[in-house]
Amino acid sequence: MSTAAERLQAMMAKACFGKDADGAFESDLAGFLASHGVAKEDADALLASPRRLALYRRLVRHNVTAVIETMLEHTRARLEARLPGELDRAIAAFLDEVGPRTPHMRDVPAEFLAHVAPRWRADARLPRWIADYAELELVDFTIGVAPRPLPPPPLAEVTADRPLVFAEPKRLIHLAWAVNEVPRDDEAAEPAERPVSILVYRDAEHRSRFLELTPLAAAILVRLFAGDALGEAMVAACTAQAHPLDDAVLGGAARLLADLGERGVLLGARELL
Amino acid sequence: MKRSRTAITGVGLGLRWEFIDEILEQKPALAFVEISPENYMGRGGYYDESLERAKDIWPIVTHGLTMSVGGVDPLREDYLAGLRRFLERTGSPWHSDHLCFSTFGGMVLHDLLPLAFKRSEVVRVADRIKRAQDAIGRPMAVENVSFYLHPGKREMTEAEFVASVCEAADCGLMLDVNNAWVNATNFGYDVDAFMRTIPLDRVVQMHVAGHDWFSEPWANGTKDFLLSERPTDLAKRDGMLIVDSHGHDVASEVLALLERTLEKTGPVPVLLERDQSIPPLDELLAEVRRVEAIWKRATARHEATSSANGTEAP
Repeated sequence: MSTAAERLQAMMAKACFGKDADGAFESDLAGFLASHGVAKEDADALLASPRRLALYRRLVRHNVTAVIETMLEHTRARLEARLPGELDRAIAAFLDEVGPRTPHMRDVPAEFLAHVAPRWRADARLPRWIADYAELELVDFTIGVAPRPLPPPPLAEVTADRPLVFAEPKRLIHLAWAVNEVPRDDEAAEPAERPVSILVYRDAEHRSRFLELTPLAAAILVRLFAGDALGEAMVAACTAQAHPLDDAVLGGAARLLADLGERGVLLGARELL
Repeated sequence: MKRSRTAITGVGLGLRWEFIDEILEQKPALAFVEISPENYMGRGGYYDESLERAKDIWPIVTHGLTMSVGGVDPLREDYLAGLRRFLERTGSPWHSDHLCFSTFGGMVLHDLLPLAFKRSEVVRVADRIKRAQDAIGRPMAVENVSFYLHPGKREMTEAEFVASVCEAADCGLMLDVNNAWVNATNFGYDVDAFMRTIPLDRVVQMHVAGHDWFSEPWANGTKDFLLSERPTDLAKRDGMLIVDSHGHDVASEVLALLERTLEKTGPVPVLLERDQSIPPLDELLAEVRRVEAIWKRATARHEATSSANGTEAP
């Protein structure tokens, strides 16, 4: 059996995050409180300030909604152009059905997107690429505001037997739509449907940048980011991609690493102990 | 935890990302800075580096956001363990969090929700504070929060509730002077009576901040609370509600209350909080200096009174 404190806190949480709870407590506050098992003496105290639950609902939802809208600003614009009010509805459903679980406000948008992406992908009213677009925008924002890195460890010359050292922050993501090609200021633009692997990194001016990779290059980088030595990463990637490790691959890898070096993503190799 | 003299005194500033580069570069004279561990725990790189740089310049105190000392969910062991490690690193002499709940059913509400002022809540919350204090290995202080409704039968005043929790938990009090004034004004009680009731000898630190005025839905004819101007005559504030926003300069009434309170407590550290509409750093530091002038004046009067009485009050 729940305590009075548990019932009161359950009621407050529902008032803040519950779908349509505002309609329920505004039309019949006494009934709303009774439906949560709030004792009469406690209900009397709440009934003395009948509109204040609405204020808490507004304050609490504002905090969560603001961080999601900030980090998914361009996704919101595209949703508004195609299905007005969808982001608000999706946030309301997230709050009602799951709610934030992280104590870190900065991680709420990722929790929201994990909840909503499968629904957006299955919703015929929405563009099929919108979840991919949101995922890329979230990574873009995260990389853009991620902490600056500490100095790298002592660096050595890049050789096949050494793991490589990359600049942080960076993320490698895989999407079904080429949303990286959609111009940000063209809300009507539609991406092509093709699998893409995108390296998101931050340049010297602290702007996040996208670099689209071939499947083999992405497979190599996945392993390098995990700490494999260069040679091991290339062998494993070619095996996984059923691709011969030939001169073309070696030449391509050399060009990729040179490009990453010029972009400031590849810093060098880790010294072997 | 009764207050004892610590190395930290004077006026400090809440460290915020909006001006961290600038302030670390300028290194202005501040008695201390306050940080929220939630903004640093689990983050590396620049966050770590900034923290280390700040530690080299100013003493650091920590003020948490999500412990939910009044919650009914179990205290999160992983959070407390991480916090303990973080506090060891920062060297904060105490850790404060809010006398409220912010979690329920595994959800984090990311706001400060009020507790009912009941005797049963005093016992329950004090027990949680004691357990949290043990878990983090450091004295704790709880902050009186702004609240806009009584979420249950009121068996005692806010001041009696705060005092009872602090006594039962044997913890410190983070006295938010703005919150005290906002609550007293919103609910129409005497803020000086509040100050006479709370255990001033347990105040380890004070907060001051700005607030916003809103018109109530029944008064503005809409269904929402609308941002409004501060009434010129506070006696004519019917239909208005003050919300603790940390988005303005500290109101003159709050500074006056701070001065009266410091005269009683003596040199307790005071922190200026600013979280919304953050002005340029030089304006923020100018406000720190205004608070500092009040702090010096009030604590000098406290010393003079204590010397004349041959006591150390309170």
